[in-house]
Amino acid sequence: MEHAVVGRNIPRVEGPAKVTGACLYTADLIRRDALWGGFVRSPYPHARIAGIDASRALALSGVRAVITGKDIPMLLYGLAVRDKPVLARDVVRYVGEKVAAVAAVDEAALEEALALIRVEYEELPAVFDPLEALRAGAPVIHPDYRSYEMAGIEVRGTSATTDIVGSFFGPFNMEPGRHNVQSLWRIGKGELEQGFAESDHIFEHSFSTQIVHQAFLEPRACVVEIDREGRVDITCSNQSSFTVRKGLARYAGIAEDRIRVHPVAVGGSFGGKEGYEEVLATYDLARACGLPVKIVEHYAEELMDGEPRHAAVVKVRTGVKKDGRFWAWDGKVFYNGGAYAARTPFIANMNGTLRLAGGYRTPHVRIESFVIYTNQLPTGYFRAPGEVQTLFGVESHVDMMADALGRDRLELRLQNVVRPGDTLPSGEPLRDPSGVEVLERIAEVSGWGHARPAASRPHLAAGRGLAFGHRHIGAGETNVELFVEADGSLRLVVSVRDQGVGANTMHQQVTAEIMGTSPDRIRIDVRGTDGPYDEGVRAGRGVHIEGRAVGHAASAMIELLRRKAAAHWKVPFEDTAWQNAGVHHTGSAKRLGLQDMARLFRDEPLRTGGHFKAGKSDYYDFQAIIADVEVDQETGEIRVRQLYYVLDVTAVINPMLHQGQIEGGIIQGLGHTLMEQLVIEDGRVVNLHLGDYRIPTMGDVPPLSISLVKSKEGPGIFNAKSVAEVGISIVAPAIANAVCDATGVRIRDLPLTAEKILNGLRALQAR
Amino acid sequence: MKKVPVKVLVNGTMYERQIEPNILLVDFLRYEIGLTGTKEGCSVGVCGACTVLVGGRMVSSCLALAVIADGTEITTIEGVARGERLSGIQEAFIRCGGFQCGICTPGQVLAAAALLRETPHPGEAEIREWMKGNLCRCTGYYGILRSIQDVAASAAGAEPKLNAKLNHG
Repeated sequence: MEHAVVGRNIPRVEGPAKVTGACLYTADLIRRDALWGGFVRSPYPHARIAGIDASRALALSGVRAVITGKDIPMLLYGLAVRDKPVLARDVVRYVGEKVAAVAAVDEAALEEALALIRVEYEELPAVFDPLEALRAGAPVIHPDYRSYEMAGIEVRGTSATTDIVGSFFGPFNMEPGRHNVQSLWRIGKGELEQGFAESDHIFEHSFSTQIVHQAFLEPRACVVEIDREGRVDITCSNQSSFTVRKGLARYAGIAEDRIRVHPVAVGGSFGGKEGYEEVLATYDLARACGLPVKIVEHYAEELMDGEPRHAAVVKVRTGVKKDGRFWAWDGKVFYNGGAYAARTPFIANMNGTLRLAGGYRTPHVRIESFVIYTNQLPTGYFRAPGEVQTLFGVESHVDMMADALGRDRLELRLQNVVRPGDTLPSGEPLRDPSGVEVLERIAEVSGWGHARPAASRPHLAAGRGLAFGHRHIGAGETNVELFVEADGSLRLVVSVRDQGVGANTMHQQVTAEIMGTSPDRIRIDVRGTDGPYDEGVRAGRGVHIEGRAVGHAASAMIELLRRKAAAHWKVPFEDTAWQNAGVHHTGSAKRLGLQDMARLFRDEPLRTGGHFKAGKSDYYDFQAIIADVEVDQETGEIRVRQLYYVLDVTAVINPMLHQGQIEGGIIQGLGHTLMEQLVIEDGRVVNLHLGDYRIPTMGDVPPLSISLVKSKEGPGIFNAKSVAEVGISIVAPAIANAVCDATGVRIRDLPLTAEKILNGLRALQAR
Repeated sequence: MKKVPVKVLVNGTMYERQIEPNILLVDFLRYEIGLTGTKEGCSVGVCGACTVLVGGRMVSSCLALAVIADGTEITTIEGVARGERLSGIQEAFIRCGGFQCGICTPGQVLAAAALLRETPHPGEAEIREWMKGNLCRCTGYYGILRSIQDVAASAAGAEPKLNAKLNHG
């Protein structure tokens, strides 16, 4: 179906603001009456707090308040598992944990005060490795774990937990003997042992991945003000205004309608700004001082105490029939959850768990996913949470099996990919899968099977690697409102945070398409908690949750206007039609355009609402990537010469926005693969700034060829599928597979450094 | 700390202030003058979000003391557009998808402006080398590269492409 507006590259609504510096982010709020806030942090990974002496700090003339765990509400904070005090109480469990909060008149006074606060610690034994933490005798990081509550996904005050496939254990119902487990999730189908018994070959491999940070360029920040009537105003760099409001209401014991969270642009989040602990501490400071308080974290604090991606150990064991069919699949993943589960939303476990048997039609599957407490920094969500980790293991493993079986690596995947009528490895249903088409397309665009590009120089080895994946389309809830303005233009009210994806522009296009207007006649009015309820940005929900709500509001507006026109003309509703952005009376020349109706009905608001709420869809995105690399056999360095990427799509609302998500995700995946790692020694992050934590620059970006496969069905508006979290998860296994193809060196832990490759080359030569 | 006088022309407006000598240029611009378009990201001069032009040259304002700006001419992102009229680079960024969250964009625009002033028709390799000091986490850089190539091509007399060809392959 041809669309008029959907499918075009409409420029972003916030374009002029962003290219001129007019767009405001939290730190840009200049409040000359605000105090500067900051935190004292633990230097130890596990210790008892023996005493805190703030007297010298309090004696400084510029200091207005110092608060510690004893001064704040006794509630534990957590997005799913509530296990974290906002400021440490009695015990610190990771280096960087916040122990005290300070408010001072300026940055200089704040720095001085932070340095003068004396905390006495008694060190406790610490554990950093997740498999170590599981052993009997490991330090128990949370002795009271059975008492921890789990926040369900709350819907307008009514608690409701997610529909979770398989069996799930949180701390409150954890299996006995598992003292350091945040959550345990088991999924499967068929009869695993029978499956292995019936297999002709069994392959088993382990992999590991590192902690990485979202590295958005805006460190988190917040401004909290309490007015003289006790109402709280908050501006913060966060993915969800309503989550912050709800969290503060609970923490402070005040009604939600006493709290206003204001809309503000967010300088990137990628899942890493779900949490709001610092907002709660800032509230405490504001309350203690009777003045607004502003906290802008230093980037080092973001790297030390943000919401980074869980490091993981992935173990896969697959039974294969001699004809190549995957028959039994046993996957285990051990995610390092750090010292608190609090920063991981939903069930404190990772949807990446669901990828642990790949996108294949193996009949007998068991998957077990542990998120484990250690004395490292707490981890959270980062674009495709848990999936970058599991797919690195799975797609490397599939290549290793193909090589052992003497099979073509793409052919083996084609043989085993899920097809219509199959269920996923989890047993979940699957609608209109395009895995076959995606694999066939990537073979075609890359010339798979034909001679690969030769190395450009003698000391370089050329190789090609493939990886395949699928991705769900996320759940959530949102509401929007649509108004016809006095001049006949339209105003769409949303409460979705702008963190870069371009949702506002998509919504403008969807509304324009349905209403038949030009996009520039639609203004997007972005609100905070004074707007219609929105659950928060995550999970690739733009076209699904948000798009459908916008669609409802627009369709409802058409119906409303037709009714009003029909009543005005005194004709039956059935004799009206919406055409050319107006209501027509079929059979006569009568017509009312939007401007006419705005004038005619000016005494009544022309307003509709759109609501959409859904669980995870049964539709999935399918994707594949091929990396052509050259490995320098003298230095071990990898150069990616070309990437080919294939994704299945249905309607693409805005091709430029869509492509931007693919490109951004792939380059984040490149960073994960080649250079990113929070380096941790004895629990301490040692690379605490963006130079030492290296992310890709424009110099690192390889040529990228994108090919889109057309699918028929999807759950979003105009059948769209999501794109925000694709790309990132399959880069690492493709490059690892390419390196192996080039050199014979198989690297099973990320990142793929030159050192590891050289060691591998030497080991091969030694044989 | 004894305050010192600073006189600086920012985006064509003269500012005279008494400031502490240890104030960073980024804080002077953002909080003293109120021009918050210049962003602070990494605070160690690596990410380029704090890029301003001092005498036309790129400076990481998070590493520079404000006092060094005394007697200079500074261009911040707010000085790039001419009133309502966006510059060619700004329009290219909008047309070609050169931004997403926008936090790095002020620095990217200024760095691109400095590049094109120095080299009006840079090749891809020159663009990549010049822009390495401006990190972006959202776009993967393809959109920024396309934007700069687009404005360089239109400066060469070619018509600006309205829907720039998006794929490399």
